[in-house]
Amino acid sequence: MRKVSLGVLAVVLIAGAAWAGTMSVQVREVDVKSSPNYMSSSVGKLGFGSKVETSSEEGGWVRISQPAGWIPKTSITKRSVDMNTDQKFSGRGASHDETALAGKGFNPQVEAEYKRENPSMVLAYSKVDWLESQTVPLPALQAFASSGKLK
Amino acid sequence: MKKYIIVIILAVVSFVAVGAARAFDIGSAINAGVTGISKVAEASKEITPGEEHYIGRSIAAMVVNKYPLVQDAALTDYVNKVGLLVAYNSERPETYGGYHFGVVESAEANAFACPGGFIFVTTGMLKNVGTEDELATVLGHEVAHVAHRDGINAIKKSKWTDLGFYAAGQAAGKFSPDEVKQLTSVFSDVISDVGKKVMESGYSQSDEKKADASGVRYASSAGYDPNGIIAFLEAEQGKGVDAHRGPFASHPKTEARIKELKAEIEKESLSRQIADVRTSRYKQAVARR
Repeated sequence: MRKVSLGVLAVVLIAGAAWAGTMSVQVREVDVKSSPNYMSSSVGKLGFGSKVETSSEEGGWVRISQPAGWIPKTSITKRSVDMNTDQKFSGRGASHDETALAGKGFNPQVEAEYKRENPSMVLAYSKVDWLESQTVPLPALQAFASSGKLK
Repeated sequence: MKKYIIVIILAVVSFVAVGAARAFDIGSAINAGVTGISKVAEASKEITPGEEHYIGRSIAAMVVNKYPLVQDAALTDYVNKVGLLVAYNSERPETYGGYHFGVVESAEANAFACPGGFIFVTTGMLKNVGTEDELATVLGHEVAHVAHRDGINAIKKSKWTDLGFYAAGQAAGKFSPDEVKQLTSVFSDVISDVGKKVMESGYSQSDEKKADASGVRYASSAGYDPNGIIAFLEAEQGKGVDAHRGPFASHPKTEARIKELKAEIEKESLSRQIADVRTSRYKQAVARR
């Protein structure tokens, strides 16, 4: 029985070790959390294309070393994103790097051309910009969850 | 000794399997595995989260072009809080630009999920929804469409070829003006395909069933009562509302849908309590609409 338990432990350790390595952030910006939970405090932010050293996975969250904390596994990819690791994106404006790297095909450059060809849609895009600007700070979300007896 | 050999084989198999998944692309592989839509997801894995975001922005623009966006910061804040708590409990809590929940003017009770995480509910929907828990389950259903990439999967196969051509042609840096024009033409076709799916024809019954099942799981994980969706559907049924019209045309019949949802909730033991405080704040938040 003990041998089987050790074996199971070995499998778990080896599978966990498979997360050890370098990956890239594939979202515009991700909050690095102090523990694997959205409601935990933020210890920093990483921008699109940042390289992260990953070590283990737990319930959909991956532990990283710099800054030390956790990020959702869906926010990173094995695919290499070639850019300055310190580069960060903020807001909705498309930087040159974002233009170049947000996608192989559809990016802000193409959206800009689409808007030029469809001027009647410009106002609608500005409303989408407004919607994107309506963000919820973490403390407000924590308070909302707590007062609503939610997790 | 035999046991050791079995253990070692298991360990090696596990290592190779995980390693292979990683080599392919962990994000896509896990998403496809979790959602159980591997065949279609396979086809969509070449669309990056960044591209999905820009397609989603355009679909969102089409939605607000047809239905006026309610630019009420307090109401938008409330709907976003409910939606984010549900989305954070999905198997795809992070999208390129994050989830954004908005309210649009329409008397018809409806909701739209655009790729990348732009989700809209109509004022008619808010009028018909009675509690925060019901809203959470409705938003959970829409989040599931985003998490499952149902909108992106609506892009016709023929467009993949065009996309692949441009993807291969562009290593890094900006496109040339000619490339941008050609790519914009493909982009227009793509958002037309996805826009029709999101706003007119609706998703397949199979996609809807999966979204129903996932939606109640997300809402329950966030602490909401998943029975909210049943309360909402039963209320709609009681009013004699024709749920087979417009974007809901592809949804399974309401009676069958309720039956399947009840079975899913029972199977997963998802039930939770409705807190009065949530119902009160829902009524307060939507009172002005």
